[in-house]
Amino acid sequence: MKEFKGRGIIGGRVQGKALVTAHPLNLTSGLSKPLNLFNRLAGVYYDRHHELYKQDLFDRILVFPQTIGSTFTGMVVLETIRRGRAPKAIIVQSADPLLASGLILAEVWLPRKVPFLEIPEPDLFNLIRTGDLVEVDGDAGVVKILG
Amino acid sequence: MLGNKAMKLSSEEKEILEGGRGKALQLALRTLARYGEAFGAERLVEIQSAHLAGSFGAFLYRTYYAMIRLMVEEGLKVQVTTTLNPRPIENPHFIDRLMLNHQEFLEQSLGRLGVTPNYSCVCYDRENLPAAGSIIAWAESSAVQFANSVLGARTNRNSVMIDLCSALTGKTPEFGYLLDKNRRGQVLIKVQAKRIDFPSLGFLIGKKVVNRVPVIEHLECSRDDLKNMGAAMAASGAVALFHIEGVTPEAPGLKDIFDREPLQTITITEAELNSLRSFEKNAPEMVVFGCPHLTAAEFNTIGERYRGKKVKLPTYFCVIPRVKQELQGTELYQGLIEAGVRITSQCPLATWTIRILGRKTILTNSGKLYYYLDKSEYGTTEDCLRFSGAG
Repeated sequence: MKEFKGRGIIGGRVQGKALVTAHPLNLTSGLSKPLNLFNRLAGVYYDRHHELYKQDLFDRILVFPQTIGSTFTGMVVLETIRRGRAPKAIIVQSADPLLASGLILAEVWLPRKVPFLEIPEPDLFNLIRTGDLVEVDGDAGVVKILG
Repeated sequence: MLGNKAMKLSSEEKEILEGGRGKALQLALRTLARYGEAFGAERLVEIQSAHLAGSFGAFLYRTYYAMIRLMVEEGLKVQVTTTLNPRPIENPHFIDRLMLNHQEFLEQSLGRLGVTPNYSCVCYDRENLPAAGSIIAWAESSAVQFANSVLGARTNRNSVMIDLCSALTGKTPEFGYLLDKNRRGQVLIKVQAKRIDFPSLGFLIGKKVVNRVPVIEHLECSRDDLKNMGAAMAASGAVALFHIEGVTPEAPGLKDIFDREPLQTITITEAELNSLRSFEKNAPEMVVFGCPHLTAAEFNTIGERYRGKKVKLPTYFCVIPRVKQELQGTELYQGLIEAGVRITSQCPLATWTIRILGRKTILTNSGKLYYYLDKSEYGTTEDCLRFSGAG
């Protein structure tokens, strides 16, 4: 069983199916399109420049390098969490301030916690694959691949 | 907290965290403290100004409005000069109003908090011009870019809502681009092209550099070129600070900005720029200038080209509101109206994301707008002028 240790920023322990990309995500671009207005589609990623175009991020253990783009990202992440369509947990190689802001705002103002970890492993996207069953512990900062 | 070192807070900050100055400040400071802890900040520091990106009253942003309501109810005021991003749509029609049903509430409430109603992402044109070295807490990725790179001020890429927490408390956590060590050059960019347009250059640099600090070999460029390049870089990447050899304040020479060999040297070629600049000739159905907002200089330079012409396609100039007001009586302005150009101060990104019905393909010389709008093509300023009817 593969296990990775990094830094937990938002706590909580969950299990889910991984959705992995090696390309940074512009979450404002992806989650602020007209179709995202429908609650059922709130977590669907509509950035046409990205390989995860039209993928639903909801309930997945999302694994990616970091976010890029707009300073709206914090609020977009926060409202996606509020609307109940956010990923189950988020794992990044590098925790950027905009993504962290969204998750921290959710923890302080909703309040709702989505486990958020930074795992600075250079080979992360080969070691965790889309579809893997993953357990995330945001308090310990540990990710386990169960199958 | 979860393996992050707790910050050293002053007795006043501790009092606020315990609720001694009301709930809004308590939650605002708690947010800033958690934010700082996540990035290794040892303390909060005072800011000279703030800039808010959350200027769109879209019905979805419920938590933002709850935060603002609480702040207004408790009679709070911003502690520093705080400017605000553009209005989303200038003449909203019925459906726009449904989508943006909190616009009036938002504008009135922010006004009550003491926010300066400049309504522009180019807040640094006059209303909010921080000195080099000053600590600020800005949102709006294009403004953060400009403040750090061109003005030599210091800000992180702050999110909407975090920006308001900073404005209300007058503080920001000390980490990231506030620290000398994080402002040093990391990647060297060489540009091998005869024809350079700055938004496409920014688009490519952002994509390749992502979140590192690029240093570009000397280029002849104007302040507005830097504004437009930086905006694109902050959309295709997460670049908060760039340097240009001999142009930006922190990089008089390469040896001044690099402490050691660059982590990487990237060459941008003419071919790469060309592939971004090319588009299907039949595609454009309208032309948009002004993301970020046009300055007076840009309004004049681009506007001049419409003398005696009439637009071939619907054409929009998105201009800093104060600039639009000041130029309204001029002959050039009148001439543009007669040419059929629509002069507005709305945010083109918001307008053409919200207006889905009867969507037209937009040709724009903005790398940022091209990134975000699904039905858009990027073209140089010359291409945009030509398709618009002023070429």
